[in-house]
Amino acid sequence: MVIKRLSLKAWRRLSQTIVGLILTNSYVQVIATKMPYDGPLKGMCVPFLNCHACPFAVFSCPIGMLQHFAAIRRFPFFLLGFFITIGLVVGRAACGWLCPFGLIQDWLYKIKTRKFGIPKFLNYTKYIILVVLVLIIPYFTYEHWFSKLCPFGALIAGIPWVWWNPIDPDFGTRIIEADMIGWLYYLKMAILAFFLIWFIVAKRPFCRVACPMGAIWALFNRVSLLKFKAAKDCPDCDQCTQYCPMELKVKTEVDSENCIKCFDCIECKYVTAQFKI
Amino acid sequence: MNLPRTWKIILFLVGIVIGILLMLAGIFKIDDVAQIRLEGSEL
Repeated sequence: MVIKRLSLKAWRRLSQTIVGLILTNSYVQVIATKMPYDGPLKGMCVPFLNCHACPFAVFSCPIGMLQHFAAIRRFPFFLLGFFITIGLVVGRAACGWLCPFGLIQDWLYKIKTRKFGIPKFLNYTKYIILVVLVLIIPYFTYEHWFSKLCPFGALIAGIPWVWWNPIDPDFGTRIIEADMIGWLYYLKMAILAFFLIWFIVAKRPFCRVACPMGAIWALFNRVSLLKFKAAKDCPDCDQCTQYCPMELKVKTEVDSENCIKCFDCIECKYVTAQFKI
Repeated sequence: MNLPRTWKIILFLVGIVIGILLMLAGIFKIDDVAQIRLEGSEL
C-alpha cells in the first residue's frame, strides 16, 4: 500500500502537540490535590519519553519503567512486549509523531542562527546511555540514574515542582524542602541548558545522540512494517536531507537507525512510504 | 536482510505474537506493571 502525499506535516505537529504534549500531561486535578496522579493509567507507559514525575503526567515513562525493573531486578514482560510489538509495526515513528521533546527540538531549531551538523560517531552514544545509565547502573545501584540526569525530566518535572512547590496536604510542609535542591539539581539544569542551546543550532541532537527510547526503537527500524523508499531515478539533489528533521540522506540512510518515520521526506516526489514486510 | 519473503512474513508474525504474549503476561501480573515507583522528580 503506497501512502499518497498529504499535508502530513500539519498532522504530525497536531499529533505531537495534542497527544504527546497535552493528552499525556492532562491531569489538571493536581492543581487542587497538590499530588501527582497515582491511578491505574500510571501503570501503563507511552511509547516516548514523558517524565511520570511531571505534575500533570497521566502515564509513565517507558525509560523510567525500564530503570525501575532493572533496579528491582525483575524481568519487564509488559515493557518488552510493548517494545517488540510497536517497534515491529512502526519502528521509530513515535519519535516523529508523538514525542513532545522532539517537538520542542523542532521548534527551537526554527530559531534563525548559524546551524551545525552532528558527527556520525555520536549516533552511538544513545546505545551506551541505554545500556549503562538505564540498565546496568540501576541494576547495581537501585537508583534511576538516567531519570536523575534526564533533561526532559528536568524541564517538565524538576522545574515545575520547584517553581510551584505547593504545601503538602498530608504534612502541611512544602513538598520541596530547600535542602533537597543540591548539586544534582544544578547538574540536571546544566544538562538541560546545554541541550536547549544545542537544539537551536542542530537538528534533533537529543534524539540522535542521547535518547535511550530512540535507541530501543532504532533497533527495529530496518525490520519494521512501515518503510520508506527512494526511487532509482533519484537525482541525488540532497533536498530530502533538508526536509529530514534528523538530517538523513534519504537515498542511502532511509529506514536507518535514526529515521523517525516522520514522512517529511515524502515532500520529495522521489520518496514513497509503504507498509511492507 | 536477504531472507525469502515467506520467511520474513513468518518471522514478523512470530515477533508480533511474542510481543503480544509478553504484554499479556505483564498485564496478568507476571511482573507488576502497576508497581512503578513515583517517588518524585528525582531532584
